[in-house]
Amino acid sequence: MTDSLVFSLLASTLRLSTPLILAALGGMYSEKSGVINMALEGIMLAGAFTAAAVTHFTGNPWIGLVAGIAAGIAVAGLHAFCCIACKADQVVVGTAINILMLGVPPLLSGAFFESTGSTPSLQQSQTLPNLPIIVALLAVPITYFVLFKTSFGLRIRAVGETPEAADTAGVSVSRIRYASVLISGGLAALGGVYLSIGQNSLYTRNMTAGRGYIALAALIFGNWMPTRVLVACLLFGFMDAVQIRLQGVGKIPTQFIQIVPYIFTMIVLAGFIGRSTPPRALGVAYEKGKR
Amino acid sequence: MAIFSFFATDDTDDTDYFPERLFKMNAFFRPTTRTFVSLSLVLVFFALAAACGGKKPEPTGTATPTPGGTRPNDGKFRVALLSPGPISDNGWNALGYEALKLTEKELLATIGHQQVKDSPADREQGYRAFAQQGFDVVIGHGGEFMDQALAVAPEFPNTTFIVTAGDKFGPNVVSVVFDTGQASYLAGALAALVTKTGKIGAIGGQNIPAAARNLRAFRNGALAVNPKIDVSIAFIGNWEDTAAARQQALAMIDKGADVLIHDCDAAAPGVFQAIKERNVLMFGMQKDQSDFAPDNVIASVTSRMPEGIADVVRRIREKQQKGEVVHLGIRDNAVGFEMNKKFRKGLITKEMEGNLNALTVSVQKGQVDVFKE
Repeated sequence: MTDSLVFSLLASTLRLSTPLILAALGGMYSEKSGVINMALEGIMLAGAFTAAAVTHFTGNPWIGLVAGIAAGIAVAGLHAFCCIACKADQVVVGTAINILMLGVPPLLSGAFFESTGSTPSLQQSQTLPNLPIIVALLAVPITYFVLFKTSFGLRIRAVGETPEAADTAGVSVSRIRYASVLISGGLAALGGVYLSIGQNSLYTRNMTAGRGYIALAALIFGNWMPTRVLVACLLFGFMDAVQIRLQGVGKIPTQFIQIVPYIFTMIVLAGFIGRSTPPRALGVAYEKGKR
Repeated sequence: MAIFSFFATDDTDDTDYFPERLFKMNAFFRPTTRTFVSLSLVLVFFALAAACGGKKPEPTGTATPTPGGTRPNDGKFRVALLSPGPISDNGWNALGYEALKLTEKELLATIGHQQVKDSPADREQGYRAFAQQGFDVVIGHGGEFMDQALAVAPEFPNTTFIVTAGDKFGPNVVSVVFDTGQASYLAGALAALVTKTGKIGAIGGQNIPAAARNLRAFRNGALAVNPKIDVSIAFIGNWEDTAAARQQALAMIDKGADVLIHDCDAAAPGVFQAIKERNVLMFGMQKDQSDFAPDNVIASVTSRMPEGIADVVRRIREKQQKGEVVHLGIRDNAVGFEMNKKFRKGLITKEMEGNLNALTVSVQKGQVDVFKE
């Protein structure tokens, strides 16, 4: 009995961590190149909605998966255009996109399904319950390899640390940043896809419930390093799973149990993790010739 | 990428077009190509918005203050709704909006709606704005509107203020309470009759009084049938997180629960997903939700909130409604307990049905306190 409870706790941890891992790794590509990706939440929502809607129309979750990722890349493209080409403030643009994505899916869902709250429920066979978990776990070593062992990764990091130097060396700063933000969109959207057609079988309004922000926190918490970010996401997922199981045990008020993950996070952040060092050019639009 | 390069490489354009003498504020504002592109995009956006939304007569909150409000003298009955959240939530706010649409259809009322932010000042402003425009009835959809309704009401004696799920009243303030718990009590009783493990569970959204009362009624119903039953109650902390709802349901099932109920609004699909996966039983909430899991939903606790609210509005128009707290329950047909008609036969025995009917009668007569602590 206790064995099965431990197993269910671990399974629950993995399921709750998967969207965080995908979004946080996505954020890592973007932020390593110097662009704050505040829009993770909105990108996840776009992916979640598109995947559920397309799967409903085609009956094929694989097409839904691809469409969801494409939608995420499109939204990330908007973020990239505003931040890189227009040099707008990255936090403001990201926040605006998040608010926009709270409204767009209900609007489209109202037009397609005559229900602004959710998309129609899918068959059990039309969901992909396990694939995203595997992808998320594989994405960690792949991200490490890409960022630290390939010339593309070196360029991403160079552009995020000292864009002037990278520019002088003949690297196109805006091109590398575009590529990074788009990759970021694809990964974060997969996190959203998992929420709608992996964990569930439909899209509901604001179903990400702040996971994009938690992923950003995990990214900082993990000091922009893939393995540490994985640990941070698993920790968040684990605390959440524990919190769920603590409810109804004894006479502890639910409100108290619900703050446990956050208190724990603050203690760990303040007490055990040293100062985190972001990429030096993070949040700064690159302007040629400017000192 | 090519289409972006025009802007991306356009780094020096903001220096020479406008001599500094002409633009003293240049440290803050230097018009560039980018500025013009953005401005024209904004213009296009507004043009589109105007084209799409031109027909809607939206209420504005900027009417000049007149004591008692300015009443348009066209003989029309005006009803407005203040919703605390988006009416696209497929739950609480959607039901409020349905009530509003029902007054438009059946009472031929002119309607107005506004979504207000979650602060006392915004709620008060919302009430005041509609009352000043001469609305006859303004509905604040949620108990949080109670204090603001009582504060604003004396200034507008010709307007009636409704508070859904409120707990107080005034000369022109009416609270409408739906005792959904009466049906949840029956659900709890039936859960205790069909469970094989002797363990059942209830999952709520936020731990607010209305949800807590509702789930407590479920527990009381179960205890009335079997005093030894193990009822776990948990809250996920919001009304939207389907993933958390699913994990909460799986956790309860792993601990042995085989009948669940939810009161978590838009997050409920997560619970349905979990019970389908593990093939356990469940009750729906607010409306007939048997379509979510036809093989697993025994019955649904339903509320006829739109009809109930519209009926109170009708009585206000006919001057038959005094200021009071209106309780609507099973007896008024405002709360119901609907069995899933497609449910597998044989699980609910004749004996169980008899038990349930007896309980329904005593709840209707008010012989049991379904909400007791």
